Amino acid sequence: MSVNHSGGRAVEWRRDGILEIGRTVGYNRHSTLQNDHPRGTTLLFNTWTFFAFALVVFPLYYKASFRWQNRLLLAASYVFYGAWDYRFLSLILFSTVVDYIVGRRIATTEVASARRRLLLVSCVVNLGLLGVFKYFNFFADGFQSMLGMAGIHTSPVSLSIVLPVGISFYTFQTMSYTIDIYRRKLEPVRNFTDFALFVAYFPQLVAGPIERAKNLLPQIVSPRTVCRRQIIEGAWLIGWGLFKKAIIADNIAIFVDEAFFPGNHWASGSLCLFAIYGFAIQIYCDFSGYSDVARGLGKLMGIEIMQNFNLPYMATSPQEFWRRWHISLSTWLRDYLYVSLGGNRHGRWMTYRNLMLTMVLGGLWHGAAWTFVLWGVYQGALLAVHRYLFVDLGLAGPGGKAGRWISRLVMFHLTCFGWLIFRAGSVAQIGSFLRRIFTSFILDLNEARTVFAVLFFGGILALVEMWIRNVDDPRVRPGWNGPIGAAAATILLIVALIFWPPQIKEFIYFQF
Amino acid sequence: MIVFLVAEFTVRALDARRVDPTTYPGAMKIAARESIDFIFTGTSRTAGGIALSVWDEELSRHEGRAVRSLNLAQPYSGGAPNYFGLRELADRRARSLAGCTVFFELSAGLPAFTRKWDDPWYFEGNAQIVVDYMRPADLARFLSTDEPFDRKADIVFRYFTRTSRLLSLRRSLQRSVSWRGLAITRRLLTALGGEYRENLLGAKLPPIRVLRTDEHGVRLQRERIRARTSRDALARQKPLRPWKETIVCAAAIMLKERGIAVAFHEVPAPSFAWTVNETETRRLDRADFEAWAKGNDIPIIRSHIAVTDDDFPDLSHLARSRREEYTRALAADFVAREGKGGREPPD
Repeated sequence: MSVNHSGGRAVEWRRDGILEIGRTVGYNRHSTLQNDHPRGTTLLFNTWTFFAFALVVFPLYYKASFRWQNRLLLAASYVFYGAWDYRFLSLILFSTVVDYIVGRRIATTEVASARRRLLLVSCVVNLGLLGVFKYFNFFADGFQSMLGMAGIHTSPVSLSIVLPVGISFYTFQTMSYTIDIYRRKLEPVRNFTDFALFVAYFPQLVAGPIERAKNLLPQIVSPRTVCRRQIIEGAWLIGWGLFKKAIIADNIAIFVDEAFFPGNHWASGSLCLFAIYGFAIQIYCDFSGYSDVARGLGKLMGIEIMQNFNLPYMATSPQEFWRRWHISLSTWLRDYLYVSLGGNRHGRWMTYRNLMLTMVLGGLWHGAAWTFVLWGVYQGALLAVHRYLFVDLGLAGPGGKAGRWISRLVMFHLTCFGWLIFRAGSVAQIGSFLRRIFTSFILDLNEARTVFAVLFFGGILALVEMWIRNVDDPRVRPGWNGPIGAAAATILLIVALIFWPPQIKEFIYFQF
Repeated sequence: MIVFLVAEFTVRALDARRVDPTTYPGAMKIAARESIDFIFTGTSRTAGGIALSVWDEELSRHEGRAVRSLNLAQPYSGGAPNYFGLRELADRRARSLAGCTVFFELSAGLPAFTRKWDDPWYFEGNAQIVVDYMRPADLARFLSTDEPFDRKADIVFRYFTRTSRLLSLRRSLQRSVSWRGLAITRRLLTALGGEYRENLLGAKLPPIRVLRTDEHGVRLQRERIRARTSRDALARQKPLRPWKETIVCAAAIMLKERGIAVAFHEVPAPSFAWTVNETETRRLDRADFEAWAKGNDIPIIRSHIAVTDDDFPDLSHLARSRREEYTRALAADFVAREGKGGREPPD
């Protein structure tokens, strides 16, 4: 490591080796998310490279005995992760070793203070890595600004550092293991390979779902079988997940990126509005698409990964939204943060505070930027206000079928406002969008392209998601592999072939 | 399978009746039944800048007979797809191309296509055109380049499925669905009280397939182009020479070897394009190119029409209002260069 002092100019703190990589931390919302990492490429599910990877892994997996299956999956998972940057394997290995040892030690220790200290070690290591790689520059800049406001001027200190793909996901996953052992809800795993596979299992390694040890570990430590139903459901999930990502999200992203282009000062109100709707579709399809593919891959290996999304835009309230959106994160935050803070056990105001703190930290989990903090504040406020109105004051929401649809419409727009905060490059851009929507709105026919894209792809999404929801109903489950299912799959395949986007884009949540 | 086959045969039936004179497959169909006198290749600047009817009119008057020209310039095409397409035309439609002149685009003094065989062969968004007339040896050559595995796999897949019309015409199908959908959306928005906001910039642009002519797209293009002229961008310029190694020059030599005349035509360019090409690196590139063209006896046709940046609504393409004037000037320069006797009519 070297520190360069150059007169009165900024001190640039650079590090050799692992940190000297170039891309700064944060979700690059100013341009299309491209894989600009200088070393390797992420094994994206929607690439030929991943297809080749799967062609090697799956036949070997089916041929192998149970123990070799786990070794194979662990090796495949490290190849999957190392393809992006093999040096960051050391991080994941470090986390794995620490939590494996700490988990076993906690289980064999009866002294409460010693157990707490061990848990602290796990939290410090995991959150420390996350802090350095994800939040160092954010907090360093913030600290410097605060000093500046107090009249103390310092030279900026920042690390030229890259955010390891998936660090937020596997950090939370491995922490949940240790915390569950600490809470005596889980027995530690004996075999290191099994535990390492739990941390690094490739389908959900880099963008979730954030699996719980009590769901995934039992499936890893026991022999698995793959039944016909799992193969059919797995194939559907992979196909539909890729469709959502590559066809819907990536095609809509073209229009959304244009509208959010920082130099775009001329967009009309209608473009801004439909760009927000478009982003709501894009982020849902991008993220739930990844989760579906992960679940589908899991099913093909006989492993059931938890459902991460359940028609979130059908939610009628903020609480319901968070029970349907990124379920693995929201339940993680609920179980390990909200409950630890006291939950709703200490009165109304403490409940509001806990909701707000949980959501602010949840927002910060997404990225080191003030817009994510603001998004967290907004989500916390929504939850708190809803709780105040409909729980504490006991107001009744609109009833009946029409009432539910009105609630859904309102909730969808409240969510969209959140997405504007989430996607905007700056607070100024949020203001600019709102100004154009609310003060100078015209339905501009020049922007019909964006409107068409949102209606076309949003329409396909709504139709298929509603159909799949019905298919999920056990009474109509045979539809999955019946003639209607086959015809639907073929039509989707043809639409996919026609609308396959010109460029492959990273999954948005890879940045988190 | 039944649904897929129905879709495939429907697309085949629709495509059988369609002749798109701006593409190589269309050119193959046209050249099967008539002679071709001139072929323009290049980027969207040539696609939008050449008014083919005006060119044919001028050259017909000069040659004393009706001439037939094609404008095969396309946005996002590149050297390799043109090389393969021209080679196929020259080999399979040799009689129709006897006496033909093929033009390659020059912009601000340099060929528009600058890539070499070691560079990416196509634009990522337009991969299909590179496989349309790729031969097994080309595929083998492509596989030996440094392209990433994903691109190679993509091209292999496209190569082996190119006989499927559903797959090879998917971009056309996508455009067709989009245009129809767009028309319906416009009607819907109009019914809801939608209106056209001022769109002066887009209205000035020529009609080019996939070219954005909506106001938003035009302004976006201007912003992007301005970013390219930054001091940093100019400082990062890398030499394009030696030109003899570029695909476009290889295409020119390949055509000459098959007895087809070749020329480079200059399209008008805005001031930024000249700024970009006025650096020391680009001056040396220009000198190298001109020496190569002279050494191979390939003419460079420049039409000296006066333009200002106002003639380029998106800072890239010549305004619709100046197309005719430019085309006439280019035709006049070409005729002057060709000499007084005109060209021999094809057999």
